[in-house]
Amino acid sequence: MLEVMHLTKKYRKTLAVDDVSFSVPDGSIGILLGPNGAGKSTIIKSIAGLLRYDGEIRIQNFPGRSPEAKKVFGYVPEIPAMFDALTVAEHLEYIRRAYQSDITDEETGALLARFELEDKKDKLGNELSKGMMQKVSICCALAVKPKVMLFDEPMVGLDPKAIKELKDVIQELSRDGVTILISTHMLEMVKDIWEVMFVMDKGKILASYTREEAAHRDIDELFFTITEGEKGICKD
Amino acid sequence: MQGLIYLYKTAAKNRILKALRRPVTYVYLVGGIAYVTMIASFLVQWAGRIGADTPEGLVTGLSLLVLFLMPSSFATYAKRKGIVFKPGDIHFVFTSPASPKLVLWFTQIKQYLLGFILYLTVSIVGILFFHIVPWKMFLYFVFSFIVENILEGSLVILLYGNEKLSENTLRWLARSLWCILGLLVLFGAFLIFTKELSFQLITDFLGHPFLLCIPVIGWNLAAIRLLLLGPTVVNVICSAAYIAAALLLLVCARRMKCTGEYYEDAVKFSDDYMETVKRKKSGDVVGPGPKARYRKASVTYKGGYARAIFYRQLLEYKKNKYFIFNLYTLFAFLGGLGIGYYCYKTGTPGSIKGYYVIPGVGAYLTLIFSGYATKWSKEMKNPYTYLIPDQPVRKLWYATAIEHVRSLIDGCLLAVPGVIIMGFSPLTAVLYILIYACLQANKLYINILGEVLLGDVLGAFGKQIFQMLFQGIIMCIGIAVCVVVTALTGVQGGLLGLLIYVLIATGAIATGGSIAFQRMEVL
Repeated sequence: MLEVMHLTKKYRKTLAVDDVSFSVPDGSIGILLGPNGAGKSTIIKSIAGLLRYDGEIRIQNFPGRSPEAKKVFGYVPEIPAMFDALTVAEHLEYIRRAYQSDITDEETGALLARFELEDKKDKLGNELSKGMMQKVSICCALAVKPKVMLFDEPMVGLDPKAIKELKDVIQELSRDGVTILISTHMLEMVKDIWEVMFVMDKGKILASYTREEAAHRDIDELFFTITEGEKGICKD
Repeated sequence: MQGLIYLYKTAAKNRILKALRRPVTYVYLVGGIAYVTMIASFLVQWAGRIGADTPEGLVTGLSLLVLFLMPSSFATYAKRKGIVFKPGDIHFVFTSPASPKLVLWFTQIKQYLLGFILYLTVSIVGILFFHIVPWKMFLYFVFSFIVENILEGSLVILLYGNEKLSENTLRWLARSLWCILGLLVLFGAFLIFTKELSFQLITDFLGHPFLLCIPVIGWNLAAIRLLLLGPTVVNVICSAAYIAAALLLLVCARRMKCTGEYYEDAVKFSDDYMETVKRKKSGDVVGPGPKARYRKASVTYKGGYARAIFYRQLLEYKKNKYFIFNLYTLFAFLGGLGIGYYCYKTGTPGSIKGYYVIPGVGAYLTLIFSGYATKWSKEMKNPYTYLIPDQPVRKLWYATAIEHVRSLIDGCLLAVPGVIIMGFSPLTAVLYILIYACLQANKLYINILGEVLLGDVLGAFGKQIFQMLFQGIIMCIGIAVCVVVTALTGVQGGLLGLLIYVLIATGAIATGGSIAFQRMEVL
């Protein structure tokens, strides 16, 4: 379970996130939607422990920054960054050791095969294209064998096959009880898989829906109704 | 911990193996060793000449090093700067369960290794050239390496990883460290003004009880003196205080709570640093810090195709705070004032030597300042430059035209004060300015040619060496041409001959360099 309680984040005088609270239940796929500058990345980075914040974040009931929380937490950032001097295989080995993950060689091999990285496993981090880096980043996050997984714009830079694989992986993780939060602009990519939706703008959550609550309404329609509607209210 | 050990060990192994596979590594290694040996032998000889090749001499050198490095590095840690985390660290290490304190400690490994090499070198130099008995140098090595690293590592954790002290407090702490440094400078200045400047005075200053009693920094100096010169009451007390401080700080660092709040500052500093590295690589002269602010400006495009590059650059420069001027303009201005002063003091307007002071200084400045790339070099990294339907030579010309204007202005600043004081003719002044602008253009096009010919084979440093060598050869030929023509036709003929020669050489290099603007893959 991922819980965000009264999260507030200021960058000097700019209020980026204003008292935001939400939670994603165990095994659910949550999506965080919102236009540019809505505060999604700030929330994601706060959950990942990269920012100071006011409020509370709990991962599997552990405080967000605690080692216990980090041990069960996988993160795929928007812009992947590799260690220049480590090969793809060595990245995975690092993850295995850093998280004391029980992932086996066969499992890492299968992960690499799934994302078509088998022939790249001896390539150094600075020899990879952006798409490849994104795939390695996903594999590394999966190698943690997390209980909570955070994706920040995970589809950007991926080829269609990798996007399909990623969607399958996300659904498999969900079936295995992993809590997932995806922040994205690409509504089309998540419309089949989401279970809980949070729509943000100007640092606040404007609305949240479960798939049942949304009934059969299209994700685009929901998103634009909420965001455009808010603008309408503001104008009035 | 296991992950961090694996990370640093594997990265170091891969880096070494990769470097060993590149032939250029061996060139740099030989060059580096030769350079360090040259500097070291020069310093040792110099120390011998001034009678400082004694234990006191080494202690003085080491004390100056401590005074120079310690307060500034503490101040940067207090400002949560000075430790650079790579984007890979942010992605994979900050989000991992590794203890934030350990993360900080591991980033210091490179510094510990450098410290190890430094202390080892100092120990060997001390035994060989400063006549210190080996056991004392061994003690110094062990003490410095262990105690200083414990102290510095603990301070890094306490300052960088602190989550209780407010930003304001840390800022004041950094300021107070700078104040201590300022006080030391004032104290030194006081001694210099009240006594006669000599090596003995510097030694006295660095061994002054007032200095040795300054917490941590002074105590470190006291410990060095105790180990290498022998005990005094102040030395012993301050050294004991130094060891106690290191242990106390270690205990505090271990007990301090650190959940990783510093990651935010580290991410920001890393972003700024990476941005700065990127901007430096693309030729901007900048330091880490906030992004540049631009003014509002407009420009009327008078022409199309490659000429548009010129007007776009002009627009960008108009948005700059200092327009096309930069630090080098200031150097040219100071150089001009220097020449003016020199001419005023020693000028012999009628002599041939007097005529060549200005071009000589201009050539020197051109040679020593490595080719600083500005907006023109960015053009080569911009795909749109290659898509413009125009000749590569025209693209090269318009991409670099503003640089030539800047060189002409710098040339004026450099030449005019000397010309006025020496009473040279306006024609001579024009020749000086044109020669300087041509030399600068020469450097610029050699820079581009270097990119075309060498690509990434030798790296940035190798390219700089190539550029300096190439331009050095061109200048040597220029001097020969100038001497011959001056002997045959007089000074103005010599200057004109030099100008024509540099123009021809620059034109030839520019034509070769224009290949760079033909296809992006050339680079």
